[in-house]
Amino acid sequence: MDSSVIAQERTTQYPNDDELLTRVMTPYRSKNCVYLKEALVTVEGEPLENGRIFAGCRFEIPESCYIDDTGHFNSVEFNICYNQMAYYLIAKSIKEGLVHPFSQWSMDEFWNAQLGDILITDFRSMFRTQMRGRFFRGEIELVETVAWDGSDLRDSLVVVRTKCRYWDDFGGDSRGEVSAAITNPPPLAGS
Amino acid sequence: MIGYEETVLDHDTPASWPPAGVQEIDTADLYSRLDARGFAYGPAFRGLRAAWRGGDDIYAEVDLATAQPATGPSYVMHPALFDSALHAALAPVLDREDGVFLPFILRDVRVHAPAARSLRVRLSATGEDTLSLSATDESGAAVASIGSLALHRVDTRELTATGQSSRLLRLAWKRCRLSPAGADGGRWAHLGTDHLGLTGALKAAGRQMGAYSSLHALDAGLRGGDPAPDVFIVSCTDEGGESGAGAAVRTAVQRALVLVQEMAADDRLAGSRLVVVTRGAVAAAQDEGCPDLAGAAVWGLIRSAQTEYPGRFALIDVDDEESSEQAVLAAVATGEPQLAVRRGALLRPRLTRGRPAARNAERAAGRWNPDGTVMITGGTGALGALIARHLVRRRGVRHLLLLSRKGPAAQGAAELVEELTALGAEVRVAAGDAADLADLGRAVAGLPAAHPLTAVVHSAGVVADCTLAALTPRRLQQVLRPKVDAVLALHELTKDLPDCDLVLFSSVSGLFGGAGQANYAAANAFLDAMAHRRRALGLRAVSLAWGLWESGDGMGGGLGSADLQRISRLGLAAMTAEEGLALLDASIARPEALLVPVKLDDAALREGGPSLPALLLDLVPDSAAGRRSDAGRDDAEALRELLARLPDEEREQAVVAFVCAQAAVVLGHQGAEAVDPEQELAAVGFDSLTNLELIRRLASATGLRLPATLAFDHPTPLQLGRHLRRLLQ
Repeated sequence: MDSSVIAQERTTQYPNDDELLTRVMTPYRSKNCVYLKEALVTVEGEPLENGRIFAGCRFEIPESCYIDDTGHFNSVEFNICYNQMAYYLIAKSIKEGLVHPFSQWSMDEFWNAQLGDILITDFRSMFRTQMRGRFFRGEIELVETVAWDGSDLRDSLVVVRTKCRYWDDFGGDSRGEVSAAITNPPPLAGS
Repeated sequence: MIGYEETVLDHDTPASWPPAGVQEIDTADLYSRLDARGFAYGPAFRGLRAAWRGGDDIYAEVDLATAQPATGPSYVMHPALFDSALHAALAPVLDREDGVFLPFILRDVRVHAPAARSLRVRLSATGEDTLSLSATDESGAAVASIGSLALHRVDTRELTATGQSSRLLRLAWKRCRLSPAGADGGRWAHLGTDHLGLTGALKAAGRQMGAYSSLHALDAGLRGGDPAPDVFIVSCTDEGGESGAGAAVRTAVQRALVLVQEMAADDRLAGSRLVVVTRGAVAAAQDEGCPDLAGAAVWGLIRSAQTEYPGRFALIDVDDEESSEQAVLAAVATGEPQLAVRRGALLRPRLTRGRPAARNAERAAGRWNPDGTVMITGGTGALGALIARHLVRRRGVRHLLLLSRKGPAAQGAAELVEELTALGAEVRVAAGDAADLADLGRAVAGLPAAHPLTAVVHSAGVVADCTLAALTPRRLQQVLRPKVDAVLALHELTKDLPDCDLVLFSSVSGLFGGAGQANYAAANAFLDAMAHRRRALGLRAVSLAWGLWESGDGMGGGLGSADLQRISRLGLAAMTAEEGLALLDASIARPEALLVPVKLDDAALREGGPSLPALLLDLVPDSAAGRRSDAGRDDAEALRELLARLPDEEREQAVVAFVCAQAAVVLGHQGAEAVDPEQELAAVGFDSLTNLELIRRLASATGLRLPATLAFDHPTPLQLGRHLRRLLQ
């Protein structure tokens, strides 16, 4: 049995979950702020160990939700798109029990945390080739999740490290590395 | 030997070889066992091939190593061959408790035929510790004889072999008188919950101090204009009993990790020292029971923090005595990295050479039931297999239970069982997780009543090395689980079996605080404490804090030559499997709950370099210890003087050359010229660990406080040198 077959056997894909995506996008105030149209979550092997978990996403920005047409995909849109990918990937991870510690959360715990408790702590974006930014693709990969127990010294905390990139059919290319802290996470079983 | 007697003697030559009715003596690992007892024979002198015992006589075959010419210019008997002939005399007395035996006086030595390449030897006892020897060639013709060979007992401690020597060290807490190192002044603050009531005790002792209830409160205080405290005191809880201890350890170690990472990352705290205070987390005397098992693991982690960030962290363990409260104040003020306070006295840990082995009576009491079953965790791995073979061959174990994750499905398990069975053992292999009490219960459930569990050798373990800055709870737990959770489960399994011995494979990393191994150090420090805990409960256990094994045996794999050189600077060398197993034998049924089997690098000890752990200082010759304590100060002064003498334009070059020289030492290169000043250190093999060591060396030699990120901010020796030069001005 060759390794590609083994790899295929251990790969699971979760097609776009319309209902979940709609729910995740609910906090966005107007429909034209919802850029993420579709997301395919893939789990290869054991995420956080020797495997990967990532979401391949399709975006449409017919017109920017906050500025007149700049003619290119800019850093604010990079950030908005990142948030939407990240929310969806975490929500899907919880719903399907894909990765620690989200596999131990309930959806209600996520809806409570989504806005107030997920805070970006480090955001790096690099724009290699300008992108028109109306129709393009993106990907977010969960590189690491670190769940810290709470103590007298510091409240419990989940730190999430991710990588992302965006591209289109015309050579557009931008990438980023983003870390976020999730404060007040639900207590984990056994801790 | 320069002459010979041309006489053919035919005395006592047996008709057949080996003579009928003799029993074979296992000589397979004789030279490693000799080595472990202080006799280091080189390859040319390892000529004993086989030996047999018959009554009071020993028969042996010896020959010259193949590369040896039989005769030198004037040999009638090659010295290596002659020496080997005497080795058979050592085999029966090798395991005697009262020392090792050396051939001492030879009388009536005759050589009958010159230039022999091989000998058949017969040794006959003629009195207590005296023998006679006759040697023939393969045809039975006499070659040599010794009328009387007297053996002389030598205490192993007197055999201070040069080079490298494997040793069974003990951890002793020695009373010390230390004067304040100036830390008494300045601002002190207690951080976090004061579990041990230290604030009150320190205030009662006259020490003014602030308090921050959490890191958040500290941050708010600093933002509000509070000056950063010079000393932080942090209390650990002493609530880590055996039940639920796994979770308590995890919580305590994570809490300590958060502290270390905050101290290292927050520039405002760069000048602060953090003192972690525990109660009952170390056994400062043999009969102490280490009630704070979680605190013991914290000690391991903080020891690594002391290695990675010298001067930033200190550990103090206190007792319940009121007189100790004042002593805590003195303990902090000494600046000493690790102290125990007992009845008001300050004790510091030092490794010392072992006392003579247990007396025969103690040893007999400590023996494992010969009908009992010995369980080995990680039993189908390389190290487990090595131990299993050894227990069957050398310790007469007849019933083995090998536990591993995959059990019978593990690679090589079937072959191992076959091999052990052929050696006369009955072997069971079970699949299970040693950290899971239910798995353990299932594994031992099938043991017949006639062969109850008599000992467990817990050799399973995992390493997931990374620096403290990058350590996460996940990486902590990866390493803690197979050590901490497994030993807690094994303890639970055996707590009603007072005769069942637990042999815990720990690591010297838990005592030295290996850089990049804080998780491993925490896990192993827990094991060491657990052995004390069990003894206090009237149960049996020993923790063996192993030094490095040569790779391939499951304990030292994956180390590159730079790693080995780094370890050598710690005063250690890698021991062979044979040396390790001989030390394992020597450590069973000793009075100590914790033993430290290591191979010392005597040259590194004599040199007494700055990387030598403080724990080894009592093993260092006095002159080297003196050099060591002065070394940092002298280096810093010498460098400053050198720079002061040089014209301004040459100073930068001198500092850069100095950086290159230090980088070369860290990488194990011969000289500074091997390091290109303009090439990034990362490109020539520096990683997070070697970076840390370079910074430690530079800090020690310059007397500067340097951040751990120095080599990231100044990635080439040239940039580093320029930066240091600015700082030194």
